Amino acid sequence: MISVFIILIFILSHILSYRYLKINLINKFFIFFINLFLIIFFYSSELSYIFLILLTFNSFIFCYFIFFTGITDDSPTLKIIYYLYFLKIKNKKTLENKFVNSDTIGIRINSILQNKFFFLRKKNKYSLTKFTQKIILLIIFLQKILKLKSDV
Amino acid sequence: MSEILIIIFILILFYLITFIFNILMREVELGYLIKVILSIVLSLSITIYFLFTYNFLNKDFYPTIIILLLLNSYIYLNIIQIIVSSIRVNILKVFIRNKNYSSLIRFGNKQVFKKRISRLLDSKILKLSKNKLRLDNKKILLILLIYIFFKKIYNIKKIYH
Repeated sequence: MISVFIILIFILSHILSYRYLKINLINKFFIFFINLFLIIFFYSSELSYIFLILLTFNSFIFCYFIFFTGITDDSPTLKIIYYLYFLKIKNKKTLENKFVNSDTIGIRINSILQNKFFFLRKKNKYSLTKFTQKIILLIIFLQKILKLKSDV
Repeated sequence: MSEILIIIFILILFYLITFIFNILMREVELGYLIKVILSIVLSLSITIYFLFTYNFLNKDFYPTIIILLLLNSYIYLNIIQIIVSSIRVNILKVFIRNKNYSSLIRFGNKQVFKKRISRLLDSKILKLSKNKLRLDNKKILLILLIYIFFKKIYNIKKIYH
């Protein structure tokens, strides 16, 4: 039950801090700090119990990070549905032309190019970090095993 | 001991989802998202059935394990989604093959949105008649409304514009 309370407290504090202070609690510093706090708080408990609490909390953070990215960056699919249903733009060509100047893709390209976690920049040339290369190769491997096709 | 059993349960869940998903990919002709959701629901039901029938764990751990199983199912769903439709991952995939910035040109707004519209048409969420699109499956509106609700809670003023 403790894990449930920790998750609820985190959701509430994340909403309040983002809404009123524009601080995103899902970042490296805060996650490290919260993990450290949990270890100190449950110091007297069994090691496996602390591990379980950390596992639950970090799994939740991973899920919430994915969900929160969807909230801040508009998903193209939901944007199409929004234009179709709420703005009543039903003509296919008009709808496609509406998205020509959209910033949905540009925001994503710029965010990964500027992220040092993914790209290294040397004299106006971009190169992928070794960690990113390994992750992408793993994704390509999974794509082959699960026989999935990318639609982008 | 219970904590280790919980971790074993999560691993079993991952294996079960992959196993069922692989069978569905080979044998059943449905959209991939339906197959993922179906394999997650089936695996979750099997795991929870075993958990409650054989009473492996102390009952105090039930909320934690159910939350963990649900969270991990969500993670699995997103791993599949990342492979299929994540724009960021696909940008990186193109970059790893071509290793130059100009290769990113294929990610134009029009191309990406065109592909998304055709995917929505293929999955029968949208219907096209006389060049006019119509929302055929309104379940997707629920997802849209959840995101709009959270955008309002977080005070994000830019709502799909």
